Amino acid sequence: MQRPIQAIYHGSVKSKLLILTSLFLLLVLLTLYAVSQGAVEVALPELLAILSGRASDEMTAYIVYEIRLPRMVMSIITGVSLACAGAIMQAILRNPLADPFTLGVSSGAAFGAALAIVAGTSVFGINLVSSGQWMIALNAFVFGCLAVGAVYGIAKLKNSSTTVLLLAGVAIGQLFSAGVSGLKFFSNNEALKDLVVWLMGGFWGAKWQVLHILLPLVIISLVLLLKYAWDLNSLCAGEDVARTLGVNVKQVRWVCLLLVTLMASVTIAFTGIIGFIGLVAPHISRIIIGTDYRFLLPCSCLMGALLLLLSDTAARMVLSPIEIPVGIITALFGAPFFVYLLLKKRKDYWA
Amino acid sequence: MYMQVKDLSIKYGTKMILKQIQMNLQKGEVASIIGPNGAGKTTLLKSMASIIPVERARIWIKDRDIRSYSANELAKTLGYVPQHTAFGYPLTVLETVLLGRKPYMQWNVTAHDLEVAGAIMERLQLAEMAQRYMDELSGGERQKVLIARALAQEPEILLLDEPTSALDIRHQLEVLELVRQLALQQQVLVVLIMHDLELAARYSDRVFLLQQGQIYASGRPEEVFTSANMEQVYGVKVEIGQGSSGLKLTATLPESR
Amino acid sequence: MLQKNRKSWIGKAWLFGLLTIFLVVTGCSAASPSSSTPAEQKTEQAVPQEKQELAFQDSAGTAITVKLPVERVVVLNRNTAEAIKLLGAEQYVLATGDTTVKNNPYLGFDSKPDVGETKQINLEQIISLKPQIVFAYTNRPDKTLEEKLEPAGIKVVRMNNYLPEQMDEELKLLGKIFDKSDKADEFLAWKHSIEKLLADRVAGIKEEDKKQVLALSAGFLNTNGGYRIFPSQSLDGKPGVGEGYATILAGGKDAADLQWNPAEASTTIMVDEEYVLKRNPEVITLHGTWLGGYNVKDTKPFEEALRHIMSTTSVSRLKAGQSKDIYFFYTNFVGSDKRYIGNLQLAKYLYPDKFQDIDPEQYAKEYFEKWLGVPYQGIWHYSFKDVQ
Repeated sequence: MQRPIQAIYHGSVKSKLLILTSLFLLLVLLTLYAVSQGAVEVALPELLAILSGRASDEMTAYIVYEIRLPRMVMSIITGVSLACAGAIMQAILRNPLADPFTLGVSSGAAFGAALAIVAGTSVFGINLVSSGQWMIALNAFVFGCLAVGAVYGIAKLKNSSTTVLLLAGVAIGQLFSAGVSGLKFFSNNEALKDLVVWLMGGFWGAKWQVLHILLPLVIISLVLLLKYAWDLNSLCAGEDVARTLGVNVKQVRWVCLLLVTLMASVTIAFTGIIGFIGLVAPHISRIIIGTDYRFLLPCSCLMGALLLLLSDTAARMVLSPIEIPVGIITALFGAPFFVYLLLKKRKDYWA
Repeated sequence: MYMQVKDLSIKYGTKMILKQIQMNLQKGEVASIIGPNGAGKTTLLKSMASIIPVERARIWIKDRDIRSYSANELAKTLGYVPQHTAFGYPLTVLETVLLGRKPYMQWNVTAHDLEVAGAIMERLQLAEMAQRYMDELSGGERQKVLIARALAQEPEILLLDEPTSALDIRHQLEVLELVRQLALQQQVLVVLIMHDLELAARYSDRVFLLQQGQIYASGRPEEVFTSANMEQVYGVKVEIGQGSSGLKLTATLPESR
Repeated sequence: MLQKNRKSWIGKAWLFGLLTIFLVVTGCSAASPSSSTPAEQKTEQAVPQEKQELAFQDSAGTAITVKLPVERVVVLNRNTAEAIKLLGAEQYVLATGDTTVKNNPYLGFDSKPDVGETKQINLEQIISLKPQIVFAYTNRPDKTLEEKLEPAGIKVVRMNNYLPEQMDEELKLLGKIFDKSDKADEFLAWKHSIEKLLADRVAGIKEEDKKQVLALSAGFLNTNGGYRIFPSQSLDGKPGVGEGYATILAGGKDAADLQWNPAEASTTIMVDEEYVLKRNPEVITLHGTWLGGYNVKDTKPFEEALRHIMSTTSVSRLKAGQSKDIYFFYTNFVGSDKRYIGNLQLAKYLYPDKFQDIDPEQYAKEYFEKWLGVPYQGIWHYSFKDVQ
């Protein structure tokens, strides 16, 4: 006779694994669907033929491999990255409203990108075309990390409590936002338009080159973060108790913040600022799979990938061939969902 | 000497919270820390739990400096039960108790972990509540779960911060009976911060009376609970008698001058 | 004790599977294009005909070779689209992008697909149309265009068709590409004749007789009440921005003494009120696209704009405001591709007696009807002198 506790535990593990598997399958199906949609319709049999290397039409195969597929993978990876970062931030800051951008990384990255777009012409000459994307990305990454570094530095002076972290994040965020406004003010129409579009985020022109950087980075960060799952679980019980359970709170916080900043700023660097995924995906995941980070983290990643892939496909298809920036779609469903969360108040998240 | 506090002083800014505390604690005893608000009780307990960092050679466990213990080692030796549940994302009772196994786990929850957790939950009558969420429970039940979590660490020392303050009488007694059993049967050193003086007297082997960061008196309950001590530290007149189960204290306010 | 290890095994397998899938997908992608680029496939079946080739350098300095004849193009630059229509090659345009249809509606490309604006150009659509060349500005979109289109065998040619120093050369290049060199030369001769006419007429104006003109952004003045000036000269004495340099070409003097830095992204320099009040220009030219255009027939918005500017800004205190020597020009007319006509019009406003026999409207009419082949309409410039 199995003791009830064992049955309960293994039963819950089984159902959680089932959820993860289902989400994964859903993601695969959604990817196939998304790849078949676009200005050029690709029917399923043709799609499968292309993916297995037996293409009939070279042009369609080219479109699938060079235009659509990188885009799909990009949105999946970005979704994974943002959701993972969001879940970790919510654990570290012990605040359900935290998202990957809470500590100012998005403002910093936006400022870096704005700087590159608006002032880059004076450094590289009027022809921004050749150096464009990589310079913007590099600058966004550097300034994103700088912003979080500043926040963490300030917090350390004051004993690194989560409240100080949050407040410093707000302050530094405001500082860089002001910088962006300043740049907007001094720029001309064209540069401004580029900046506005960049800020809205998107996967246009996704390249495999970028993915060769992004993929390993995100996957490695994810694996490292998973190792901290039990530490993160312990943090839920409060920092004091976590310490007595053997968690090195300072180290966990430091490492996790570093990895989250890395993931968030690299993502922003290439795809602009896409909001709500990092906030919403962990929340939905928590509702369906619980708070155990061993499962919550993979679930958030899958959920983030699904949501973002869905949003990007909608962004492409709704007004085809015109594309809506994906950030608008995520805000459109993210905001009402957020309000719903506040109202529903399930299981007293807000204490 | 199982656990020792030697000459512990803690400063917060310019204020001295604790001044040269000395404590010698034995295996298997139940020790209460009592005293008025602001006396430094929680600071003392947290220092003993290594939540507040202390200087070298101040706190000793089994003749080793507490600082020489690795975080995991210490977690297997010492369990801490806070006064309240922290606000956070709700866990089930089982999940909370399993957290106590963290020092022993890499990633997986082993059968042994489940055995230990299961046994503890049975003992505290928490088994039926295994899948309920913490915020669905009453205060008393929640407190028991926190204790179960600490017990899941299989500690040799158990530190509890006012475990009975928020409980009704029945749960208070249950908890105190439990810790007494632990001390007697498993030789666990139990240190509690207590508000209720009678209960402290009834269940403790020894009592430490704290006033303004210093130990005013320590020893067996009847040694510490004297009218003179009570008046001096708490500022009330206390009549001390013998009830059927222990000391009976009746307190009145002193006449105003 | 199978259960003990089951979870960790599943966890690891799961992660490994995810990693594998992603690596496979990226691996496939790396393999695919090199194995068979669509362009190569095409040439395999090419008929052994004599294919001419044209080698040239585009305005971005890239060396390009295209096979003639060119009969399928996509244009992401509305100025280039206009130039192509001018040359009579519009039937080769498969689709346009970057606000061509919106801003140059008279070109008649609204029946063709619109592939979107700069940052959201629909690459799939372009590729599916199988053009030989895609035309784009030199500064947008970025290199992603070349990266995505060239492996599909599509050439990207970058030109602007509105910058004065490049316009003529670019038109000639387009002539060569579409085998319309004769038409190109004809047009350029006509254009140069107008430019010469203007230059000759203003040659004789003495320094002290030259009017002091300030070229401003119409939108900024109207919306913010502030002054953004188009400088007439750049650093080291070169000609400045089109809208500002028009002053000089039309025989006027720049009321401002600013110099434009070509490396700056913005074409205007913002100054405060005091500066403008001190310079006190005799004439103000306003430039923008928010008023006027091809489809505008009503002059009311102009009158309202003037009233608004006079009542809310300090223009009323300037010489130009008091004499109402304020002239509005639609951007393309003075700063951009049609500036040779616009400058003539400005000169006529400045020195009416010198240009009594010239009617720039006629040239505008000729441009639209004879050269573009569309009816002439719209309001491209407006004089506030006669507004009440």
